[in-house]
Parts: sequence; C-alpha cells; structure tokens
Amino acid sequence: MGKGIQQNALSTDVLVIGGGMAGMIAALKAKQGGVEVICLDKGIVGWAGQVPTGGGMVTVCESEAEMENWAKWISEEGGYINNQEWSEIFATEGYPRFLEMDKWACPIIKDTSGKIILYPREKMYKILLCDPRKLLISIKKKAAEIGVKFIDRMNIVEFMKDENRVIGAYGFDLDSSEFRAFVAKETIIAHGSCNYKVRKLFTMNNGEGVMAAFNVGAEMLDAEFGNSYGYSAKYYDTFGRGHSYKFFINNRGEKIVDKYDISEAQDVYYKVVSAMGQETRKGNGPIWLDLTMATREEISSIRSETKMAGNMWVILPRDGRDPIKEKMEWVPILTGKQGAIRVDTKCKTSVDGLWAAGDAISLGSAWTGALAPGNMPGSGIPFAVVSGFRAGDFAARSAAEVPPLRGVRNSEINKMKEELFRPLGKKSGKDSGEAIYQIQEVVYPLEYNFFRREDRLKEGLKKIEEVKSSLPDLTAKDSHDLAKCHQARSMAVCAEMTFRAALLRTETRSAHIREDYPNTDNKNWLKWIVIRGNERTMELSTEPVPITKYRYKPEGSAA
Amino acid sequence: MGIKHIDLETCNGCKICMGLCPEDVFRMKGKKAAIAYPEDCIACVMCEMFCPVNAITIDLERMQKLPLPY
Repeated sequence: MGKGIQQNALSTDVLVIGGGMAGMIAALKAKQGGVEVICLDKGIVGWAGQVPTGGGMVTVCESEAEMENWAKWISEEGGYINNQEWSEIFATEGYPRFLEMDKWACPIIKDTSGKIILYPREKMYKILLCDPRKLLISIKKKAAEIGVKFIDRMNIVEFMKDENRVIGAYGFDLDSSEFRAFVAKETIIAHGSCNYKVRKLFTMNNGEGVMAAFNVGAEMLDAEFGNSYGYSAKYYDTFGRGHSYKFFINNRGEKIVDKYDISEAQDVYYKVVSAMGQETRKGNGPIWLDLTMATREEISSIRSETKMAGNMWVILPRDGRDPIKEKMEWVPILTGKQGAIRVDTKCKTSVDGLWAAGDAISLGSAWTGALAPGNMPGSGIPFAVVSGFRAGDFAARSAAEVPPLRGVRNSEINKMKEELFRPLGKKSGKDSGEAIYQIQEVVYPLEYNFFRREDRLKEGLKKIEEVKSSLPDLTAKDSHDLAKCHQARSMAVCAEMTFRAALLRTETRSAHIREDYPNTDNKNWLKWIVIRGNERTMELSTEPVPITKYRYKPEGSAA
Repeated sequence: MGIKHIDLETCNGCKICMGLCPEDVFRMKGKKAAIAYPEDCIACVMCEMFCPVNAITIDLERMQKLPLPY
C-alpha cells in the first residue's frame, strides 16, 4: 500500500494530547471553531493532569493598573528574559476567560449576590478560587456536549511527520497494549512538563510531549529554568500555605526569615529554597516548621481547610502527627516543570502542524522567564486556560485551511511500532525504575540542579549521558513497564537539556544560580538559549531577548 | 506500604482511580478496579480522596525510593 490515510490510523482535524485543563480547553475551543476534535489522555480525560491536585487558586488581574503592575513584577522577578508579549497576554486575558467559563456553569466561588469573589493580593493581582475537580468536570461536560471525542488510557510518545509537517501521533493503549497511530491536520501538545517523578501529585508529567516535539524538530527555549523547587514536610510531601516558611527555624532555633531577605518571598519559592540550602550547608540544618510557639491568629493564617491531596492539615493528622504540637522537618522538593517547547503567541511551535498549551510551553505558568515555572502560586490554572484558548482557537482556524492529508506509508508506521515496542521484546536488561532513580539522583540534589557550578553541572551531565546510553537496554514485560521505559527516555532528554543550557548560561539570573558566576550579566546574557536537534544530538545557540521592543527593561542595560 | 486495599464489595467500577493515578497502579479486573502495580504507588492519596464510594485505603508510606535534596 502506498501513501494514503492508513486504515489502522484514526483520523481527525485536530488532535489534542492531554486531557487536563489546557488540553480540554484547547479541545473545546477547537471544536467551537467547527472542526473535528479528538482529545486523549494516558489516564482518563477530565481526571488527568495537575489541576485536580491543586487548591484551585487562580491568579487574575482585574484592573489595568493591576495588569501593568503584574507585567512589571513578573519581568523583574523573571530576570527580564520573560517574553513580555506573553506576560501581557496572561495579564489581560486571564480574568475575561474565567468570566466566559463562568457562563459554562464552572464552579467559581461567589458571594451571596452571585458575584465572583476576588481576593486582593500584593497590589499586583487578585486571586479567585474554584473547586478544581468540579471545574474540570464542568469543562468536560461542555466539551462532550458540543461533540469533542475522548480517548482514555492512550499513551502518546512520538509524533507522525510528513516532510516538514507534523500530521499526527504514535502511542499505545495502556490497557490493551495495542499500538495506535493518529492522523491529524493539527496536533496540540498538552501533556505537561517534566517533573521527574519526585514530588507526589506531580509525578504523572514526565516530559513525553517535550521529547516527542523535540524529536520532530521543535525548538526548545529556557530549558535551564526547568528546575523548579518548592518545600514540603519531609517524608509526607505535603503543601502548606505559601507563607508557612515564616515559621521555619534552623537546628539552632533561629528563624530563617530573620537571616535572609525573604520576608516577601511567599510568591517566589526559590528564594526560600535558597535560604534552606544555605543554612544546611553551614551545618545549621535540618530546617523545621515550628508552630509550637505560634499564636492562635498566626496558626489560623496558615491553616487551610481545602480538600486537596497534599494539604498538610489533611495528611499529617492521618498519621497521628500534629504540626501545632510538634516541630516537623521540612525539605526542598523538586517540582521540575521542565516544559521547554517554544511557541509563538498563537501557541504554534516552530514546526508546522504542531501546537502546545499549558505546562509543556516554555515555560508554562505565564512564561516566567528566569523565574522557574511553578514558583508563582496560582499561575498554573490560568496559564493552562489562556494558552488552551489560544492553541485551540488558532489550531482550528489553521486546520480549516489544510488540504486533506496524504498520511505516511504503512511501512513507516510499522517501523515506529517496532521502535517504540523494542523494550517489550527483550528477555533481560535494565529496569526502567533504576534508570528513573539514576536521573532523580542528578536532577533533585540542590548541589547539582539548584546551587549550580561548572564542575558539578558537568558531573551531572556525565551521569545523565550514562543513563541515556543505557536506555537501549531497558526491558518491559507489559504496557505499564513500556510506559515507564519511555518516561525514563523523556526524563533523560529533559534533564540533558536543562543541564546543557545551565552550563552555557554563565551568569546568575533569578532561579538560575551559578556559584561560579554570581552576578547577573545584562551586557552579555540578556539572551534566550535555544535548543534544536533530537534526543541523540542537541545544538545550543543564543538569541538576544528583543528588549528594545519591550516595555520593562533592567536598570543599566544597553537597551 | 502505599496502596493497601480495594473493597471489592463497595467498588462500583467507575475507573476514576485509573484516570487519576499518576503511576498507573490500577487495572480493571472484570468490572472492578484491581491493584496491579502496588510497588509503584507513591501514596499521593488521590485515588482514596476521589473514590466516590470510599473503597480504597492508602498507607502514607511511599514505596519508591527517592534521593535526598542534600
């Protein structure tokens, strides 16, 4: 059989990979644009992604002054290498999108008169609250009503390409273990970032979409900032309110907030992580959350009754632990958030036919530049929504213009199947869990990935390359194992991008801390690092940030 | 020990646990959810929290080993 749409490939206009918030919004918007849409997920569409794990906090800007203050603040915190066009889009489109979603009967918290409650915060923005689980259900219901098709338990790990255009995707069904090919005029990546399976509640996102996009030639950007850390109770991996760190003490009983300039760091986690790391290095660790001396008012200010899986006030009592009566050890924890796919303001990647939304975008959470994504609480849901709206809308418009696809040869599909299923055929070899742990040993420790220095970055990179070279030995006995083999692959690729870019950036900028280059270098490094290639070879280059075009500029910059 | 138990009397086969388990621990056995890969459970408690019939019990200990941050 020659070229033509394959009988064994499902065909659609727009294929959305990932059924979390960004994916479902993109699917819904694309369908409203009058094209056929399939939205699939390796879990179950509407139950997947990171939104159900969160507290439903949504950052929005209501007034023009807030929008300006926010864009200025994020540019300062993001080291002026944030894309300021995107900062403005995030600031101006977030709230109107939630007002639109409110009309779809989305569960946004309101007062008795039916008005959305906006909690003022830091003069720069406001917070609205929603029930994240119910929000996803309401969007899925709306998407189903207008005819979006859903496919569950489908694990996508590569894209289909015809010459220079992406025309679909390859993967396998986790339950039946069957190989699947999808042909689509436009494909939207919404399967999140790479979080390296360290932090509970973030472990489903392993960068498969980032790797697949890279392998078909998509450019990557800002990979060095894919090292987002937060902090949590040791062993339990819980969340506390953002400002709970104000009750962190070292082993000598000193409050760390008194020793470091972090009194206003509740919206910028990495500054607290830096203080925790520095104290531990000085031999003053471990760090404890000590509420034993806190007043009732202080405790009530950090108590949260939200029913979310990681809430410390829900988790700790289950194990008979009471954070009010005993001090508890807290540690920095990696959330990763390595989503480095470069998109334009329409959410199109550098490859035709391929789009991205949510955390897969460089770098999700409002394109925060040098502020590692995930550092800003409340930005995840609105960014998924804003980028989902754009990706779905523009991909549908583009799909309407694309002539019928020729598809690819069956022989190519079979070759891909053989490639993706290779670990299944092996009788002995390396376990994927071992490879994943070896990657975690490099990406998690602060000495490699937070307090960065050339020699340690090189050492880390060497270890990542060793893991990469062992990947062809991975074995899988079933579809569950096979999925983990591909996760080890994508985690290794994402880690390599981060370490290579971190080595190249010989300066310190916000969350990228180079101990051997402690100053921010606006003369030479007001630049983006772009990565091209594929998982076997990576080429890094730099591109000046178009700062002269931007409204906010660093003091003393040449621009 | 991570995931401990699914009460098969109570399980209604809704598949929500399969949908949101980040580590793909569940498979369906007939019309009921089954613990297929207990060694991969990270005890995130999402399944327990969102099970509509409270059929799942989780122990908070994470099964997978994890490196330390410092």
